[in-house]
Order: sequence, then structure tokens, then C-alpha cells
Amino acid sequence: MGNKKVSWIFKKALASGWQCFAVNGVILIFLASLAFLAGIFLRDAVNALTRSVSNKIVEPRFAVCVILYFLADFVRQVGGSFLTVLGSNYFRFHMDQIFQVMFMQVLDDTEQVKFLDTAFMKKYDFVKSGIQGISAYLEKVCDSLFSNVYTIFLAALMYIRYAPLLLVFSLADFFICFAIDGYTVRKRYELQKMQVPEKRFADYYYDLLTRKESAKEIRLNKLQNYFYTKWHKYYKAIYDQNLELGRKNVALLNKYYVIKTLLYCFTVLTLIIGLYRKTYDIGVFVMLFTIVNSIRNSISQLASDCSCGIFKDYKYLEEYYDFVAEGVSNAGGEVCRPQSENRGHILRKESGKGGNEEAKDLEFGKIELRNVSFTYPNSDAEAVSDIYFTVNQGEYICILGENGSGKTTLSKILNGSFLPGSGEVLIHGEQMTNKERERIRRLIGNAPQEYSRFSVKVRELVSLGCLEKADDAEMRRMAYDRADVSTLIDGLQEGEETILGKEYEASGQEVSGGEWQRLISAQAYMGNPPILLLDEPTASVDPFQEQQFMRNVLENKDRRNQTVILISHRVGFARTADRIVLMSHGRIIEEGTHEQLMEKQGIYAEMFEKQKELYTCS
Amino acid sequence: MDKSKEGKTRDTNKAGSKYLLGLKRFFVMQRKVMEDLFSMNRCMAWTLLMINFILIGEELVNLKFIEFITDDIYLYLQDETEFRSVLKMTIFFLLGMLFFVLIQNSKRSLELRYQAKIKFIVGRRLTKKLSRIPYEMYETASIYDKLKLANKSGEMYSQCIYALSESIRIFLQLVLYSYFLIPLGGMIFGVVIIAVFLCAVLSANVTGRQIHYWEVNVSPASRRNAYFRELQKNRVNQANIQNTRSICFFLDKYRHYNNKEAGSYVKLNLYSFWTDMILAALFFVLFVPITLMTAGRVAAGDFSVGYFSLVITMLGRLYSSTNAFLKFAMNQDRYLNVMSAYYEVLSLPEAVMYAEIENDAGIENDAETEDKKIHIGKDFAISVHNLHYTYAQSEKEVLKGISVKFSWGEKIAIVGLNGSGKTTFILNLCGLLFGQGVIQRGTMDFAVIFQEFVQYQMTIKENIETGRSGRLLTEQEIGDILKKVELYDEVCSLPDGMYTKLGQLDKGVELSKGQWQRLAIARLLANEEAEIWILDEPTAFLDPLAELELYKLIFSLAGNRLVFFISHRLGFAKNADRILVMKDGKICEEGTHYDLMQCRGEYAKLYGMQEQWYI
Repeated sequence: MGNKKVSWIFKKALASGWQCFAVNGVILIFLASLAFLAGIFLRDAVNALTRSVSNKIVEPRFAVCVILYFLADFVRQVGGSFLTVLGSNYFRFHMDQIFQVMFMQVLDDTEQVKFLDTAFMKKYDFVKSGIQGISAYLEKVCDSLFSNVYTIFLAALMYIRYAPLLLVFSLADFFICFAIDGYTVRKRYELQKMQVPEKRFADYYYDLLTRKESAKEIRLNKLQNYFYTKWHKYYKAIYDQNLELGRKNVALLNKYYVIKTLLYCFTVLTLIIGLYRKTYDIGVFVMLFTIVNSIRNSISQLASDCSCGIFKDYKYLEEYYDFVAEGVSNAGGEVCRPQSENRGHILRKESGKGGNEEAKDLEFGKIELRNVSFTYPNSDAEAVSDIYFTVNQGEYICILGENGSGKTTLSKILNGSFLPGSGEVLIHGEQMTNKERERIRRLIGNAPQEYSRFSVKVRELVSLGCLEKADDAEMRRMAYDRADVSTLIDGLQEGEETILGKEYEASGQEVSGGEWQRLISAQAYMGNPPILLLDEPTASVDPFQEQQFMRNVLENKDRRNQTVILISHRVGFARTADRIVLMSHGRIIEEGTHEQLMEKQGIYAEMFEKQKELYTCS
Repeated sequence: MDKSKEGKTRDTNKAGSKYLLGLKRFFVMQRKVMEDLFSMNRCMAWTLLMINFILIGEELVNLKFIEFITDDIYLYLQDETEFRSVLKMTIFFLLGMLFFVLIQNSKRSLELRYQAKIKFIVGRRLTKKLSRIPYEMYETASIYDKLKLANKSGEMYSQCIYALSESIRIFLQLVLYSYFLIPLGGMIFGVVIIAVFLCAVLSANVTGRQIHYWEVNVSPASRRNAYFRELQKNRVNQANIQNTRSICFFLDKYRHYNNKEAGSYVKLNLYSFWTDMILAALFFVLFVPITLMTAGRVAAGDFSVGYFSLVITMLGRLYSSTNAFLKFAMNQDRYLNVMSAYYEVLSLPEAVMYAEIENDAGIENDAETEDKKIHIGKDFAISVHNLHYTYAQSEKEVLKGISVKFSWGEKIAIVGLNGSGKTTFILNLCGLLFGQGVIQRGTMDFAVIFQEFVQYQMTIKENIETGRSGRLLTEQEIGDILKKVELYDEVCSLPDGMYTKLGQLDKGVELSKGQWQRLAIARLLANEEAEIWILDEPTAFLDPLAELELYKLIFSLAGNRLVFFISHRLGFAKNADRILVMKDGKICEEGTHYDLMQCRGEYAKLYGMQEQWYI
């Protein structure tokens, strides 16, 4: 069973990265052959020397052999380090890219709701931090195969020719190393898996203590010792466990080294006895002796690669496969989907769709939610229950409600982040499947409450809203103007080419929270989507900008017959809405225009009066 | 042409001197690290060092064996000696090997314990330190680089033990080899020494350039690559990428920077290639003649065959040792950077919260430092005079001279457009940032809610207790607080009540933004001894009714405390004792709501904008 998983990974690696294997393989075989040749030259040199000593004159053959020996050795050492590092870097980067990209593509297919599920997150945390291990593992395999196996093969040839008993000792060495390494690595791997929850806790508290986000509160509330104690508990536990295991492993390893040395002793004795029996001459003896010394490492490495490969990396590969295979089945068999390459490629010139299809896509008639319910994982209460909600083209809808009423959950269902737990979402009268979710996403310009501060160029950030039109400078300008960020952008060092944030680029520029929020709304406006979904778009924005923002929204809505769904607490925004939807405890309790609801004298009316009191001069 | 040559020679000198400086740094660092290690566990450190000394004996045994065995075998082949003596020699040697293996074993056990312990202690030190450095350090980007480096110091420490052993071993090795080479003649010995020296100098040059290239090209490339590689693995980012269907964009970015990083490594390797070439060529040019010469003298009968074996083995090992040492010295640069970052982080100042004045003007300190009770009858609680502040990263001055005084019991509202400096001002007030100018205050307890407050993934009870530095509260007290912020019913409806875990660290429950905000306010209320409250956008996520309730609550519970509000929702400002209107880093208007409305200035404009939604 496990074989199938790991062989899938190998197949993928070979399919996309066979060049890595080829390049590395050639380099390693070349170097190993050089080493072997050096041994042969040494043999001839020593033999020539003995003859010279007997004849009391230096043979020319001796000089030639010495020169060739040193040459081979030096080329191997010099070229060796350079070429192996070259090959290894190329291998590492190229192979890692393949698996990282695969992982990211699978993530893209994963339901967002899964990220709130602890069980999933545990698996996810484990897999995501070890992806680089895959390329390291494959590189080890490649090395082992082309270097160690090949070297041992050549050595075995020599052994068979001159002293077959040595083969037996080498095999014994190999198997003992294999067994011991396998055992120690398996134990260490098991311990690591066991420690994952503790490590998560330790890392969490460490982040709290050392990261900027919590730095202010830790200092003001003097929480250093409090969290330090918590962290220390887990940290020490992990340390103790690791030490305990380390001790046991080292004890075992020590015994192994004694046995290995004994085997070495037997080998040397065999060689000497061979000499006694005059099975071979002194040159061969020197060569065999050198081979024995240089083989020790190769055997240990090969044995540990074989055995470690069976546990630690192997197990990780299985976990990776499990994680990625779900993505494979979701996408219908092939993870690296070609059609995803056509979606919103920022460098593509053609938009990829004809005019008619575009127009059809932009019309949606209406979106309907029927009897929709949703529950978060780890929670019993329904976040939204029995929602009947319709969005018609051209409407301005304002969703209000107290905290915890389910507004944001509803917006996430609307924009396709979550699939409803029960009930249906219909677009154009058809039920929303995965494919329809794509359509919905294309229709919606979303400014979420939890936005990401991607550290990219300003124009790239804004064009994320509509990648198909990313190259259209006119479109971008429009989006900037609507979101009122034109002055902000012109004020940046390199205008729209400036990179935001200094996370990875020292030349980037930091912007404030309110400025980020405006840029995110520019993202929502980009491409004039038919539906604007805005979730608390003015939380960190000052009154002046707020006014501007709402003015923009309403103006443009009228001009382009755009549908606007606004989610907010600001009761004031709802005045001009075509429809107000008031939510409470996951249900829609009141619905209507401002006038209708004021007449009704329900909760909405109460909220409005209270706010009016607060804001008007009395 | 001349200029570029000039530049090149200057670069060469710089590179060479950089490497020499690097060597100096290396020795200074080794000393520091050694002192550190010895202070941690003297006995173990000495034992390890002794063992390393002993192990050099293994090298000696090996070489001598090669010499004697070759001699014996040769003599045996000439029928000049018995096989028995060969056997005896071999067994003697093998017993020696076993002895050294046992010593290696004990070294391994000791090293394991030692390294684990060091890693543990180092991690502890770093964490402790980082939690205490002044907040200001987080505003500079360099702290992150230092932090990333310093985090590796646990492993690097064990490298230090290895480095120490290696340095000793290599030194003793060279002594050993010299001893063996001397019979060849002083000249040859001298030539070899000079060759080694020349190699070192030439390689130093190239290595210096390599280090420079690493800093300028490889490090940033690797940082960029890492950013895009890890970007998607964050939950919020993942959601946003899915919603904007921009996966391909980010994949392309990742691929682009990954290839860039790979490319930068190629050039880096070229540098080490040249180092290797220089070394190899030099040695090759030397070794062959030496070998031939030795062979000649062996043929002439001056030396034994065994000696020839010895020489050829030793020359080979000398080459690999020098090679290894140069590479080792090159890698030490990375090790040095990590250890320097570590020591730098350890030597950062620890923030003394609410320190008395520290600034240029150097005014006298406030005398009342012990009295933590609420001061009644004192003139001013906080007095600010000509406060200026510029963030270390940008050159823009954020606060341009603020002078204002605050008395006990005042409720101050701070309003202004984004970017006017409100948050910076608050951070200066509570002592997280230190600007130029004078802030006079005693040591006081602040209780603050920030705009982006932390959502601790612990139980509800613990979340509230963080407001009191983690000290425990009784269930009754927690219940009271929850009632005040109107979360009591909701919390009771949860299966574990106030012991419910939050967040997905440990299968916890997710709260909405509004519920979290109330919890943050509960934290504030838990800190009863705080004399000053600061609330930065405390109602951003609350609905209107809740907002009203909250302000009512704050006002009723504040008592004689000094309370600061920052908010964009101007409705509450009506009830404040005083409103500070900030614009472009200065206070442009000050007064009560009615005064400011009469002025028809900035405040009136802002208020008017909000009001119009309701008329």
C-alpha cells in the first residue's frame, strides 16, 4: 500500500524533473570512476616503485603513474566539489519547485472551511513544513544510487577479483548498519509525530512572545513571565523527550561502531594474510587497502539511506501523498490542471473568452439562497440557519446585524468561500456546483473583512481583483479613482510600481491600515464587476474617506447598474439601500426598505433612533 | 580601463582585508563562545577538549602503521623477515584502533548531551530576551533579520564545539605532518609551508568576494523566494487567493523567484570553484616533484619504502586538510553571522516600561515613582512638551511638536484623519515608543485596547486574565466582568462555559469579531489597578446599540481614571471632557464638542460628514 504512494511521487518527480536526475547522475558517475581510476594508478605506481627499488633506478613508468594518480585525485577533488554542489543546487531548487507548486495547487482546491478544523490543520501543519524534505530525500536517493551504489559496485568487482572474503565483511557491515539506522530513525520519527501537538503549542507561545503583533500587549500587560512559563513547559518536555531518545540511540550507535571496527580489523587481517599467501602483489594490496578505507563511508551512507528512507522520509512522503491525493480526486484525476493555467494569467495578452460568453457571464439574473444553513467545525450552534435570500441585479442591499448574527458567514457563502451545510444556492435557476462557484467568483468584486496584505506591487495588488484586465492601465486608473487611492499612489516612491511592505524587499514601502483598506476596495472595484460585496469596508477609515467611499459606491452603482451588497454596522449606510436585511442569531429577522422598517418600529427602528441620538446635535 | 582596474584592485584589497577581518572576528567570537560554554558546564567542556587532543593520537597511529606495515611487507616479500612480525604489528595496530573507537564513542555521548543542553539554554535565553526588548525595535526591519539568524544559534553553538575541535585537530595535524616531513630536508619543508600560506592568502581574496556576493545577491534572493513560498500557506491568504482566483499569479511569482535564487547560487559556486582550483594547482605543482624526489631517494636507499608510503599518504591528507580548513573558514562566516546576531540580540536593552524621561531635553524626573495609587490633588497626570517622533524606517516626521497636559479624571477623545499620528501619539504616551521632547509622568499602570488586539488562543477565562498579567481571577469575578460586557449569556450557553477554548490551536471555538472585541474590553476591565485607560478604535466591529452600551459602560466604570479614546465614530465624542483634533502630526483644535462645533473648524467638518447619514 505504501509502495503505491511513494512510487507515485517518484513517477511525478521523474516525469517533471528527469533532467535533475540525469545531470546529477552523470556528474556522480564521472567522479566515482575517477576515484576508481586513481586507485588503479596507485597500484601501478607502487608496483613500479618496488621494481625501481629492486633495480635501484627510477622507472619512467613510475613517474607516469604517479602523475596520473595525482591528476585523477585532484580533478576529482576540485571538480568534485564544484560539480556536485552545482548539480545538487540545481536538483534541489528544481525538484522542490515541482512539489511546492503541486501542494499549492491542491491548497487552492481545498475548501476554506477545512482551515478551521483542527484535525485538518494538524495534518496540514505537518505536511507544509516538510515539503523541502521531499527534494532532499530524492536527492539522497539520486546520490546513493549514482555515487554510493556505483562505487560499491566497482569495489565489489575488485574484491571478487582479488579477495572475495572481503565481500562478506562488507555485506555484514551493510546489514548491521541498515538494521540499527532503521531502528533509530523509526524511533525518532515516531517521537516527532507524537510531539506535533506539543510543538504547535510551543511554537504558538514562542510567536506570542517574540512577534510584533502581540509585542505591544505583552509589554503593557507584563505578560512576559506568564507566557514564558507556558512556553517553557512545552519546550522542556520536548527537550527531555529528545534527550532521552538521543541517549538510547547513541548507546546503540556506539555498539555498532565497535562491531564495525571489529569487521574492519578482520578485513585488514584478511588482506595481510592474502599477502602472506602471495595471492596478489604489493601494489594490489595498497589499492585494496585504500578501497577498504574509502568504502567504509559509502557503505554506511547507503545503509542509512536505505533504512532511513523506509521510515522518516518515506512516512512523510505518504502523508504528502495523502494530502495531495484528495486534491487529485477533486480535480478529477490530474492535479496539475491545464485549465488553471488559463485562468487570469497576469501576463497573458488575450482574455481567453469571446465577447458573447463574457456578456453572458456578466448577467446573472438573480442569486437565490434557499433554506441555507451552515455550521462551523468544532461548534454546535448553527452560524446561519434557514436563510431565504435573493439578490437581484441592480439592487443595493445592506446587511445589518449585531455581532455573531451571521453576517460574515452569509457573505462567505455568497462569495463562494463556504459551501452551505444544507440548503441550496441557485444562480440562474441552477444549483451552484463547484463550477458555478467559479462563475459566482468572477461576478463578484469582494472586499473582505479579513484581507491579506500581500507584499507585491501596488498595481499587482489592485489587479488581483480582475486579473484578466490586469494589463489595462485605463481599468486600473478607474479602480484607483473609485477607491480614492490615486493621490496615495502618486505619493509613493515609484507610484504604482512600488512594492508594499518590507517583508521581503528592503525597497518596499509601508502603508497604514486605513490605506490598505482603501487599496483592497480598489481591488474590489477592479474590472467593474457586476456585484460588489463589501464587508465592513470602512472599519479603519476616517469619516472623510468614508463619505467619499460611499459616494463612489452609490454613484457607480447607478451609472453601471451594479449590484452592491454592503455588510456593516453603520446603520447610517442603510438609509439609501434598496433593501435592508437585518440578521440576528443566524436568521433574517427583518427585511425591507428604510421607510418600511421605520414604520414597523422593530429592532431596526430602535437601532436607527439610538444612533441618530448619538450623532446629531441636540 | 584604468578605472575598472583600479576598482578591481580596490575590490581585491577590500576582499582580502574583509577576509582577514573575518578571521579576526572569528577568533574573537570563538573566545566569547568558549567563555559561554565553559560557564555552562566546565567539567564537560574540559573533558571534550581533552578527548579531542587524545584523538589526534589516532592519526599518528594510522600514519605510523602505514609506514611500518609497508616496510614489513616489503621486507617480508624480500624474505628478510617472518610473517609473524607482520601479523604482530597488524594486531597491535588494530587494538589501537579499537581503543580509539571507544574514545570516539564516549566523545559522541558527551557531545550529544552537551549539544542538547546548549540548544535548550540558548533557546531559553533568546525567548526571554526577545520578550523584553523595547517595542521600538519591532518597528525596524532589521530586527527580523537578526531574529531569523539568532534563532539558528542553538545549532550553531554545537557547531562551535565542532569548530573548536576542528581548529585544534588541524593545528595538531600540521604539527604532526611537519614532524614527518622534516627528514626530507628543511627546504622542502619550507616550500610546503610557503605553499600553504600562499594558498590561504589567494583563497582569502576569492572568499571575501564570495561573502560579499552572498550578502548582496543570494541572501535577498533567498528571502524573496521564501516569502512567496510560504505566502500561500497562511489561512487568510489562502482564502483570499481562492476568492480572487489568483493562484496562477502567485505560482508564477514563486517560480520566478525560485529560479532567481537557484541562479544566484550558480555564480556563488563559481567563486568556490576558483578557490579550489588555486589550491589544487599549487599543490599539484608541488606534490609531484616531492614524490618523485622522495622516490629517488628511496631508490637510492636513503629512506625505506615505508617512508615513501607515509609521504604520499601525508601529502594527500595535507591537501584535503587545507581544503577542508578553507571551506570551514568560509562557512564560519555564516556561523559568525548567526552568532553575532545572537549576541547582538542578547545585548539589546530591556525595556523598562514607563521609564522616566529619556530624551534629548533632559528635564528633571518626576519624583513620585513609588506611589502607585490614584493621585488625587496632583497637578497633572501626564504632561507632554514638544513631542516629536520619527519612525526609524521612514524619514517622515509623524509627530511634529505636541504640547498638552492631562489631568486625572479627564475623558479625552482623540480624533483625526488616518495618518495624522493618533496611534503614534498614544504609543508615546504609554511608553512603548520614545520620541524627542518631554513626557512627564510617574510610573503608572496603563490598560490599553489596541485596534488590532491579540486574540489569544486559550480559554475565555485565560483571555480575560491576560489583562491582569495572567493572575488568576475567581469564577465569580469573571462572571461579573462578562455580565458587564454582555457576554455572560453567550458564554454560559457554550458547553464549557468560561473554560471554552478559543481558536483552532486546540480544537477551540471561533468567535465573531464583535465577540472578540467585547472580550478585549473585558480584559481592560479585569485590570482594576490601571489608572489610565487607552482605547484605540474599541468599537470598530461593534454594532450601534452595542457601541452605545459600551461607551456608557466605560464612562460609568472609569471613575477618576484618565481615559483616552481614539475613534472614527464621532458620536461618542460628544460626551468627552475634551477633544483633541490631530492633523498632520499636530493638535490643531482642542476643546469640548460644543466649543469645537462653534468654531466651525476641522472637527465640525468631520462631524458634519458623519451626521448627514442620519438626517
